[in-house]
Amino acid sequence: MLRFLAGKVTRGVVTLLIAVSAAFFLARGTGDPVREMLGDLAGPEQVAQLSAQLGLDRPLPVQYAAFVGDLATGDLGTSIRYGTPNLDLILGWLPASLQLAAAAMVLAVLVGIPLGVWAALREGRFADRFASTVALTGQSIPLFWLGLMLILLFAVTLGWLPAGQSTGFSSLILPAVTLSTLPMAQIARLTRSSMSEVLGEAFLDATRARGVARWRVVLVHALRNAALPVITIIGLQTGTLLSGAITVEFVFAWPGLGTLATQAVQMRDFSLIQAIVIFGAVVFVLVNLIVDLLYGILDPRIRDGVA
Amino acid sequence: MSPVLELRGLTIEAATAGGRHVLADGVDLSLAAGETLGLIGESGSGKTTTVRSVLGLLDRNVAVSAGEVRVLGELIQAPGVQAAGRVRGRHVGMVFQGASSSLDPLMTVRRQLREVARTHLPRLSRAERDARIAGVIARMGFTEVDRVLDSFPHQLSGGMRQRIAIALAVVTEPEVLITDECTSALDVTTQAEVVGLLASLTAASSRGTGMGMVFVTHDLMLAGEICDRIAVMYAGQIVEVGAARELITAPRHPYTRALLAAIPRWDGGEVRAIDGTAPRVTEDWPGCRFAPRCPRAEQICRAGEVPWAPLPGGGRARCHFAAGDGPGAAVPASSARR
Amino acid sequence: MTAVLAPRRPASGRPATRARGAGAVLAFGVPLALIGAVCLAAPLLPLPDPAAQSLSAALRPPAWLSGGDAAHLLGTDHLGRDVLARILYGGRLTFLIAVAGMLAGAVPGTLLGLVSGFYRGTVDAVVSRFVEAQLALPFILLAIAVIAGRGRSLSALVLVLALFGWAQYARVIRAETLSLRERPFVLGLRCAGVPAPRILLAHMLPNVAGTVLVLVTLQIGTVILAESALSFLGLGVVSPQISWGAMLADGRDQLTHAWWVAAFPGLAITTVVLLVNLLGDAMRSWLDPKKRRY
Repeated sequence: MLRFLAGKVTRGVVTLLIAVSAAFFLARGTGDPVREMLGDLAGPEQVAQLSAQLGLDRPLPVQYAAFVGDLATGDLGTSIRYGTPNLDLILGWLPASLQLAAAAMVLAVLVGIPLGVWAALREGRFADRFASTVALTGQSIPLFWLGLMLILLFAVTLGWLPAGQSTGFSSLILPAVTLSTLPMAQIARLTRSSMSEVLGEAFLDATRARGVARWRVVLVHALRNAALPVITIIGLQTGTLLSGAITVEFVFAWPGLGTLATQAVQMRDFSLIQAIVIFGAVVFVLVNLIVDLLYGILDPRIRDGVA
Repeated sequence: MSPVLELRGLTIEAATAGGRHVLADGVDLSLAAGETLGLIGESGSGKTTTVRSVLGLLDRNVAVSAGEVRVLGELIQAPGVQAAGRVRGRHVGMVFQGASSSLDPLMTVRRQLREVARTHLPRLSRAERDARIAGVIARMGFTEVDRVLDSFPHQLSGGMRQRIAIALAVVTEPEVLITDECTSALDVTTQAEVVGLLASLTAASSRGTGMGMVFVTHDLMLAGEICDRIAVMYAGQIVEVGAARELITAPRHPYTRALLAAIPRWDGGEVRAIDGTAPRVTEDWPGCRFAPRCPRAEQICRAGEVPWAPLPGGGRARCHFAAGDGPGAAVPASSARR
Repeated sequence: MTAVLAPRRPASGRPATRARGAGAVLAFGVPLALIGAVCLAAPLLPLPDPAAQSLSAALRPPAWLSGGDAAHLLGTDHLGRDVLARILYGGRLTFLIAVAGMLAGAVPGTLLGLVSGFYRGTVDAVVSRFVEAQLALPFILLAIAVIAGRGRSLSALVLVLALFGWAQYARVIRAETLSLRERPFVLGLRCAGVPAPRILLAHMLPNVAGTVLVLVTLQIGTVILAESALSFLGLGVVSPQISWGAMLADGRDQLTHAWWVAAFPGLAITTVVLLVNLLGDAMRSWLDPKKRRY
């Protein structure tokens, strides 16, 4: 188990290093951020001055070394517009995002898994087609448009729910439902295919022959065995959730990281954008590390290194 | 004494795109307490379908269309009757082919045994159930009981897994144990171990009367070793039933003879394969099902239903020529029946 | 062998299944092609100029509502521009970006997948870590970082979409190649001394082509969604260019009093992406009856 853990952590660190390096070089190597920040009217002195101030006049390898060194000490740089450390800004805006993401994920799991199980149990019949269509539609709708339409229906026309950032639980409903659509669809689809594969396995017949109740065979034995790929997709969804949150938070004016990122873009706060990208990558790698460890706990075969 | 398991005229049909197929046709079998009955046939003969129907484990397009199954005298299968839930695991245990695929890979042996014990023995205390579990594992020939109980299936060998599967079937002390090709995937020494274990289980149980066992296999010699009686199945029908020794030393149905002749022998005797393949039977199949492959089939064989012929040793065979003496004796059907 | 729990359909012949698969491919492919053709032919159709502003005709509702105008079937936006015309003209750019973004990801992704699956070892380890790293970067954030550095342009958009798409191809094609390289015909070619690049391009590539085709189809839907999200955030196409995502961004501000400005472009996106996804699914079960998951 210890070797399993060490291997996963090493891979996670390497992945993270590649991801942040990619973010660094893509942002600096492909264009001129200072020119973008100042606009076309700025003179050469202004450009030079800001470049020096941001340390962008140094050779790229030097910049990169400084960047990685800062990262290693947990320093994500300083915001150009706010003048405060990026990490503080991010942590300040994070709770609202976490709340939204958690609500959306809980909703996605609570709807997606039962939908997938139901479809698998009725493979090829109406219920299956219905669930598949719902899931496929969920994968095809632009989240922000769905958000707009939900606002139109429930906030503007019916007036049942608040459309945005007002306080309280009711303001969480529309954004969470919107954001949950994509993970819900993918969880439902994967649960269905994983479940229908497991349902064909002989050990379920054997368990049934021992007199174990049908609901227990489905919900305990089959679902547990079908859960592994579903857990993987839940981990991978955190990345999508972070991306999706940007447009959804924008639509609902939700005071989270997504809104911070959109503001950073509008203000050309190039340092803050980069810090948010890196923060997102760290969260993603951490969540997937946890998923990998969960895999080892749930499946003894993986822990023992067989199959 | 009344039989613990009884099949009467059991007919099972499958609805497929190509029409209705008869998988089992009028199967009559009965099993007494403490008795071991072998059910022999090639793959596709309907033996697995027959025994799976007892526990209601048929595919969705397969159903009992006539006849009945009784366990301990209670009707559990008939057209429109599906009461397998009442006996599954409690009165009828089943062990399948391929032990590795009959255990949940994500649960320890202990949890799987506890689940079955909790389902069927709710009156016992947890400690009593655990004692019962430890006892059954010890009876399966394991010495390190706790180590085995705490293992996951993948940590055990194939033979060990099959013994666990048997433990799961007998922990509730059922009156009937059905084993479906449960030794086929094992190597020869492990197979001998498992067969020995099964024989010891039927010999005597704690309740005094032995457990009855249906031993499904394609291996006639193996069945001869362990069974009291043997039933031979061909294309959905029982074609010969008799005491094991009798059936193997003096087979009366040409198909049983052909099966015996197809077994490689240590004395260098000639091995003869059976020509052709078993038919897929649709509803109206005239006459003997083995006739197309039978070396001595005559006009009468293809004419209509073949009646049972009682045999000297107490068995019976579904053949016009069964009463004749020895191979090659061509006795007219009319005189054979008289 | 059997399953009580999973209802099995009676064995159906493979030819019938395949015919049904081909039918499904047509059922989704034909409407999709029609939509594409109508968008392409937009300049030939009797439509108002999509860029023509007319403040007196601003925010007209769709023709079937009171106050609607038959000249503007789906109504007009806040500058009096015809919504239907803008959807059709916007579709041209949307499709163009989708295809360009898809190709820009599919070509390098497929090649990397082939190479890493075939050579394995170090190459494979490196490519696989990069695939994981790509998955770790939240796409829109990555796009924001790139566009913040380069400024908004069509080429920046296609670059971002390529960065987004390649990993999916590399991952799936790698797995396919890994199993393909153990097949007897490949072993035979290698024993016969056929050079590796030739085996890869002349023998392996045709064998993974079906999978690539399915992935490409499914990816087009994802790319359309990604483009619309970026344009919606103001990181995509620049006015006066029209894409569906950009139209949605305009419509957002009119949402409370002119729902049609945002509703119809979104409906267009959903319809097209749904058709593309259905087509991809149909192609997968048509080309790969074993229904592998990816």
